[in-house]
Amino acid sequence: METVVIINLAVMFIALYMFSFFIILNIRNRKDIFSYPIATKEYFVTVLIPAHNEEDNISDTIEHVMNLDYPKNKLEVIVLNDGSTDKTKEIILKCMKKYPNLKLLDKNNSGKADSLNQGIKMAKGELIAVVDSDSFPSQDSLKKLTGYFDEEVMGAVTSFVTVRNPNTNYLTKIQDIEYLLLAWTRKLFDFMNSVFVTNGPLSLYRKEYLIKIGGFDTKTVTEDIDVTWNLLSYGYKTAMCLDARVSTVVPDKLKKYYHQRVRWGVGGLQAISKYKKTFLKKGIFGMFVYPFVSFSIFMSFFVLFFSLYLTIKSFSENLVVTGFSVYSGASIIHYENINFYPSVLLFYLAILFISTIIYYNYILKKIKYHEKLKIRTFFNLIFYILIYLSAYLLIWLPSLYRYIKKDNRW
Amino acid sequence: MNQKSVFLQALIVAAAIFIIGILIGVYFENLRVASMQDTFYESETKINDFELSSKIIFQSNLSCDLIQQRSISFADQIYSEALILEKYDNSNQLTQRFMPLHKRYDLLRTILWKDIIDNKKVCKNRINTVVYLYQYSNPPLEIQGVQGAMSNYLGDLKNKYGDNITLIPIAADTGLDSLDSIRQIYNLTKVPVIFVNEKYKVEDINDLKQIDKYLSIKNS
Repeated sequence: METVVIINLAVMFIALYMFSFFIILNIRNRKDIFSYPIATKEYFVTVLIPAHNEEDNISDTIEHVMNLDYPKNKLEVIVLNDGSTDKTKEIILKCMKKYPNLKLLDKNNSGKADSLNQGIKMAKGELIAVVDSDSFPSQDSLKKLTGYFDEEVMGAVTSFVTVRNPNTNYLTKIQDIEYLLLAWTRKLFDFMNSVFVTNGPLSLYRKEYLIKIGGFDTKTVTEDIDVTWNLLSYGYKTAMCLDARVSTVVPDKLKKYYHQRVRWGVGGLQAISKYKKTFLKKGIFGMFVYPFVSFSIFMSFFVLFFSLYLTIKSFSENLVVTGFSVYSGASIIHYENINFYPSVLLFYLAILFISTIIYYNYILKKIKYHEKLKIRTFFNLIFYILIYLSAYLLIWLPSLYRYIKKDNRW
Repeated sequence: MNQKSVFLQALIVAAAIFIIGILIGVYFENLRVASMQDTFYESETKINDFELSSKIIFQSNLSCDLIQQRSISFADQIYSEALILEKYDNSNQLTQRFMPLHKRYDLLRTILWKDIIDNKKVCKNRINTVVYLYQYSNPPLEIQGVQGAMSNYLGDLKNKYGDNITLIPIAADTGLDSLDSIRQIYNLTKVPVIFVNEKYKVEDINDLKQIDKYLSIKNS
């Protein structure tokens, strides 16, 4: 057997394993996907809203936070204005007139992580909720998250992020599908006590543990990944509630989207590097989360480079044959030479593709993406699986470059 | 709920699907080999029949047209089988059973070529033979380009002249002593090469257009 075939088969087996893993996890926990524990007490919660130049969304975000269905005497809201140069501060001050109990920490620009750390120092709450200034928690979301903290070891709980602007263009529509599928997968990780990202739009943390781990790391570009890994590495638990929704504004321009995803990529690589000593140590984090994420990123790179190699090889072969054929006056292609006989790899690809489409359809149906799945959604799913996910691998190249160059820009 | 068993369950499911896939793959590849083998046995019988009938025709002083007709039709059949064999060979990735079959087909084509050479001596050069010797195993990129262009050009030639030419593609690197001997006789040291009517060698794609001139085809 040729080396290329062996590599292809190995990749297929890994893909089959991952897919089977999620399916089995889903089947075993299908009744608990949307369930969440009801809190036995009312925790005092401080909501931190870090904001930097967010004049378009901050008012709406504050409005959503102030209208959370949570006892007002148990809720403190602090907006962290991180040196905004637009009208963010004025808008916050206006909101403070409407909501006198709203607090403002006005500071020079020092980054999101540092703003959050300063906010933690100010916070009175036993639990700290972080809400991005372009995100809008649903009324009942906070209540649904607090119940998890009845468990003493719980360090952080995250929510189900949906896209606020799915109909702006095709890019936001595809991100809408992506966010829904990611949320579902994250929930499956919850059943393994392995939620490895507590998202920025809405996550709840136990303040005591945040202080214990040193707060948010200011040196990383994705403080949400880092803080989750840090909590997990200390042995604290993380969870996810699929019934606590928060909507967020996603990039509608390719350039903004690209910068965001490269930053996420750099953050992932930074986390792998920072926590390498925990590999195969320290319970579920060292034994599963760290190896799983590292292996996934390694596989992304491997598949990317292997696909590039195969594409370049096939392209150059076809180019040379076409070039020589044109030069010699021969036809470029003959109908008799077109090969319709499938190989075993196509069998695996077909199995994986069909199963993934069926499974993703199932997820969208369960999440009630639409009451009835439209045919357009089906085609969007096909686009998402075949084009988007393949193209996404390319993001890893600039991410790796920026990581090596130690470029920590946002 | 203890979720640790998910790792093992997933492994069992993935392994089961993977093994089923391999078994199905091997089954289909074997089917292709079996189908090609059946075709080969038929062709093998035909070439024996062709050799014997050629002898009978010569001994009885029957028409050379009959030999020409039969050799062209047989060569056409082997040519179309070669195309299928090539596709099967590219699609079969688990088993390596096509390599020996490829070699046997190359032997069959060499026998056909030799028969046609012998027949030509008696029938005075009535058949146009275009023998294409190519590199089968891991040709470098440049050779792939040349072979691709040659293959495309010969395909065009076959479409253009149809029964007027006998096109015989043979892999030159499968270790056939008989083929090596013929190559020595005609000094065909370089591969790929197109050898027309046992006289004209075309080794360069610049010279492909010369092939038309080397063929003796009467305009009807």
